[in-house]
Amino acid sequence: MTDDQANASELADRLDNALPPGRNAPIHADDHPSVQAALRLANAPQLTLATGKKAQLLSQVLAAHGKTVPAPRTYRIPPKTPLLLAVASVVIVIVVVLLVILPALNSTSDDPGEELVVEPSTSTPVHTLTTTPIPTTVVPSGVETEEITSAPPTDTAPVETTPEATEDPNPAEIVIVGPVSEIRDNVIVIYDFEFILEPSHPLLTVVRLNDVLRIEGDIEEQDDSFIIIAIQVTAISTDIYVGDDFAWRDSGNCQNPPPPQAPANGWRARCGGSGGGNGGGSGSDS
Amino acid sequence: MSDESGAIRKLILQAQRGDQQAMAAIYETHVDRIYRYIVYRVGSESDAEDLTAEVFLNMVAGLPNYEVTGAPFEAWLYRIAARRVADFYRQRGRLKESDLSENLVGSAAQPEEQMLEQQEVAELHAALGQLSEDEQQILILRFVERKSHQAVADILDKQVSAVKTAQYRALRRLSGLLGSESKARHYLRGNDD
Repeated sequence: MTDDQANASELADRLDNALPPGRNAPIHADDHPSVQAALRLANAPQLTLATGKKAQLLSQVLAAHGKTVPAPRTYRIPPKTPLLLAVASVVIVIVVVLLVILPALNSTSDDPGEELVVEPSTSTPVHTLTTTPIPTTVVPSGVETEEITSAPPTDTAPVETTPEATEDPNPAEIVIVGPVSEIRDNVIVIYDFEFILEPSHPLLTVVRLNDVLRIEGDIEEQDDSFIIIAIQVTAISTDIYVGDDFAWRDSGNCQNPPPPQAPANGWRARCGGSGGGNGGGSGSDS
Repeated sequence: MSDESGAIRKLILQAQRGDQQAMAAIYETHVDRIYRYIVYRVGSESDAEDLTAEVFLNMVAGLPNYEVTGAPFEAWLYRIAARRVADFYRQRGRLKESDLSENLVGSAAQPEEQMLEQQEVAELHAALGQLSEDEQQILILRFVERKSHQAVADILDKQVSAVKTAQYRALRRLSGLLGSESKARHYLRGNDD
């Protein structure tokens, strides 16, 4: 240890004795010149921003804050949507034929006697958003359609197709499975699609960014654009569970057991048992 | 992680989600200490008000990309403040920091106590201005804000031993500077020293 370091350490100890940390900690006398200089700083005026200036600056900060939260894209449906939808459907069919059916046909060409089995490719899932055949659906312009249907997003969570109309009398018009990228009051954003929930929806008490959800929604027209009303929400992330009138989140400890029907894999692996209760309410944040 | 830093972390995450109450709470927690730091760095309360505003507007702009790590949140704020102070001096044409202490001379109409306060701030600012930026930061955080060696080390991303060594050298110089100013003041007032 050099002389400077030794002296520095000794001075630091003296300072901790004379001027312990903490704004309200008592000060003790010490006539060492360096400690005296430190005491003068410690006794310096504790200036604060004037009340009016502080409030004025707060307004500026909050105004700027309101502008910096990025607004997700909202799709405005152009008037010629039905025609575009038809074109997009044709393109999708062509792509599926080229990528799936033709290679399958080529692989069986050496043995024409074998039964032709066409299996969808599972190695590179196509993140295709399809809806029930409603003329006004959330299918953006041609360029945007290409962006959605041909370029898989970086997250691998799949987008599910809606069920056949004949199987469910009231099929959802849009189904999305993916991570939550933004939460604004009762609006949840997944892959830039905004889903509006009831303000009292229990999911809102536990949901966090990056939770993976499956949301089925209906599309409603509003002015020149369309909004999506969430009608069914299912948690894919196993550390949350959404019931009809309650929601549960793994709090990171064993204090808040999940309901029996919740997967809660993490909680059960950590705490064992089958949980308990019919609804634990929202778990505390870990 | 301490309870306080855990609370701040929660506020940050909420503010990143657009929670304005959380943003207001972050602002209220840090605004005065950032303002004080800047006042003692630039020597002018009006300039410090403007620079404080810039710091927090920069904070708002950078908050979406801010990542909660082990470093204290105020470390980021102090870094922004230090950059703004450095830019301030660059724009002022490299005037010595001590030259600006005249901005704090109050009018004859102000109460005496306020004038004494301003004079004290001016003297401290003039003396601090003779030190390096690192030394100024350490002394302001250690003694104006009464932070521990460890807390200052965390904020400045230094080892505790480095903080103590810089503190030792800075206080040695500061005590000499404050002592000379005191002597000069007495001389100008015609007191025998």
